[in-house]
Amino acid sequence: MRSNNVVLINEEGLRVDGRRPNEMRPFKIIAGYLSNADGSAYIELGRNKIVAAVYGPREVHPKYLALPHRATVRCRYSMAPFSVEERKSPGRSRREIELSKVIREALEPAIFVEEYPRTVIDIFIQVLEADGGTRTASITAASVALADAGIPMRDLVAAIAVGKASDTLLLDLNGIEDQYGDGDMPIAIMPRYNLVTLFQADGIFAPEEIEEALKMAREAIYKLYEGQKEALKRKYLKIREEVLSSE
Amino acid sequence: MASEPQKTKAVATPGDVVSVIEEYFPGKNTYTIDGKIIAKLVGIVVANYDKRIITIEEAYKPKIPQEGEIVYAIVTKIRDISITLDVFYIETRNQLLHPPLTGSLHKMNISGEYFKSTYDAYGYGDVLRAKVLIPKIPLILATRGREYGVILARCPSCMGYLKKHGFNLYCPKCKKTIRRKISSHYLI
Amino acid sequence: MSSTKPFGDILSTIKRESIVTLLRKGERIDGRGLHEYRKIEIETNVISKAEGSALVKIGDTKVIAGVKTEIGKPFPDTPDMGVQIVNAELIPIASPFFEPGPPGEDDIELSRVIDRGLRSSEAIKLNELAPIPGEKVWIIYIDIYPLDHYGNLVDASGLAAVSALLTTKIKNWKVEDGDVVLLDEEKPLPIGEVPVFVTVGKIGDTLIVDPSYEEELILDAKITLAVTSDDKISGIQKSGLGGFTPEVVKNAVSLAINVADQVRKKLPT
Repeated sequence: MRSNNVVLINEEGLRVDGRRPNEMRPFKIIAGYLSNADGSAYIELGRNKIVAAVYGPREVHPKYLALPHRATVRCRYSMAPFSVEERKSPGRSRREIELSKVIREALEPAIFVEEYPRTVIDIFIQVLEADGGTRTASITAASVALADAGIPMRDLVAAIAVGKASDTLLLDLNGIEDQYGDGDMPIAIMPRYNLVTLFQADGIFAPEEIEEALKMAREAIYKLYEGQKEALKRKYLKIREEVLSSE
Repeated sequence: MASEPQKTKAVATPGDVVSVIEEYFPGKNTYTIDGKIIAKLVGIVVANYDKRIITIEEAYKPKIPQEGEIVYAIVTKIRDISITLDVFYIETRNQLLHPPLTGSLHKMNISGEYFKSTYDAYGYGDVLRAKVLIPKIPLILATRGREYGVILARCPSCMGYLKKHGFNLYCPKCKKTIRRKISSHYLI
Repeated sequence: MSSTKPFGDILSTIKRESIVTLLRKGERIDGRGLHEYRKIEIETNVISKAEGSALVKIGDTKVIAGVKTEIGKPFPDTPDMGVQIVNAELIPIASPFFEPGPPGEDDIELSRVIDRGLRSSEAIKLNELAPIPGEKVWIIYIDIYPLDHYGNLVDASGLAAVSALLTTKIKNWKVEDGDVVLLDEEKPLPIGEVPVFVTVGKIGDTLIVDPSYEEELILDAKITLAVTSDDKISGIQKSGLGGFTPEVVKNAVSLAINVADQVRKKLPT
């Protein structure tokens, strides 16, 4: 049972951090945050700070993992010990292993995997600071990292969580709301296809609440999608400027 | 007279609608859904007005060497017909590859000159400078031409580096001459 | 089991000539002087959930370190001292050469080199961190995560660890009925003498500081020295397949001491 002693929505209908129920936290996306990785991105969503790196397409080791007709996609979501209130032990947790899988399955539908048979695309996600919604922010960042690596994609994938407290749907739960709220529903969408590629929930939701949550998520995801595109364009234009000025 | 394809100023990102099929044919790095032409990659939109083709000029190339690129590779397996190699460096991009890519060098792509067998041309552990013929995995490589071939090899008996000596390699320690298909880029 | 790394010598033979030729002229491939450090940037308090944190850039090398603290049991052999735990993980984000998986020898070597350097100089005053000796003491975790590996991870990690410690705040406490009660007020972590880590690389007869990634590939060997503010050495680690003569060690030590002064100026105050 979740504790409801914490007031998550005050009388004016504002949340613990002063947001309205349908208000997303401010975010910042940087494409090409790292130099060693083939593609990379950094995202801040509220207090979440996450780095995503992509390597590939590269040859698969061990070789039996290579698929003859398409690229293999691997994903590793990992939290730094100092990213959370109580230090997290550096070993792999069951949570990290599950999230790695659902994040991969959120991103894989967007990748033209058939263009690089017998290769692997590795996605590494490192959470530096966590404050509710790291899996969705990770998807948003990783999809920018994939595009930054030059991997052919149908679309970018953006994601956000919708939660619930005192029978009110709340967009983009922060850490406290996630901990003390009544439910959390992370959602990822490929906007061009209007395709939901990550969909999970804990807590109790009525069917009409799910419908409403998807609607709220979609609006936020369109904003994130624009942010992703801007980040990618900003990096590309910067590189072009550098090339042109050096010529 | 056909004009050159026009580069627009537009930067596309994956998922961007760059045109519709009523106006253009979908070209390289694009695909279509519901009559819309959509970008697959980050890059500049290039419209060819004459051929009515729209393509995306990619911003970033994946780290798989393209046709014609020059790579360095280590011989890992020698068979009668072909040699298997680990490609670990793309010279044309000054880029290391880790993990290395598997490459394959067929007997007939070793040299313009005659080598009796693959074993006469190269030895295990030799580092070759080679050209990419087909950019698939395994990479199909060739070492025809004087710039291609061994750039570094060790003596099979003492494991010291071999030195270039005329058209052959020579082990100063074992006083042995060893025949190889040598590149003009041989290092020592 | 520790084993020789594959490929190293082939890459080094190929890259070596051009780097060595430059070194003979007193130049380096990135235009630096032999004893010149790359540009150092330190940003502190980057992680609000950590009690102390720092993001350090040395050129393109990027390392983040975070400090977490908790009350726990002391080590049996030092019951009246707090516990210092250093953990470094070479995550695959930072380099294609880093494999995912449990920590390997390089991860552990890095952790232990930093740990020894900090411990020997008494960077953390662990004796002031034992509220109930033998029972309850402070445990100070220093977690180091390289984000981009362009050479000299050791110095960058040391700088990140020290910078994070210098900005760490812990809860004040009182002992009540045999238990530690944490108070709301915070105070800086008691800090003693912090070391600066300087890595000196040897290529042929030449010594260089702060080797870049390409230089690391061809180094005969390197030696990392933890240098205190009064020019003492609080930790040494030689690594790589080559060796140093005693005279060269002497030169490396004095070189590290010289360079450490410049690096120390960058530390947060």
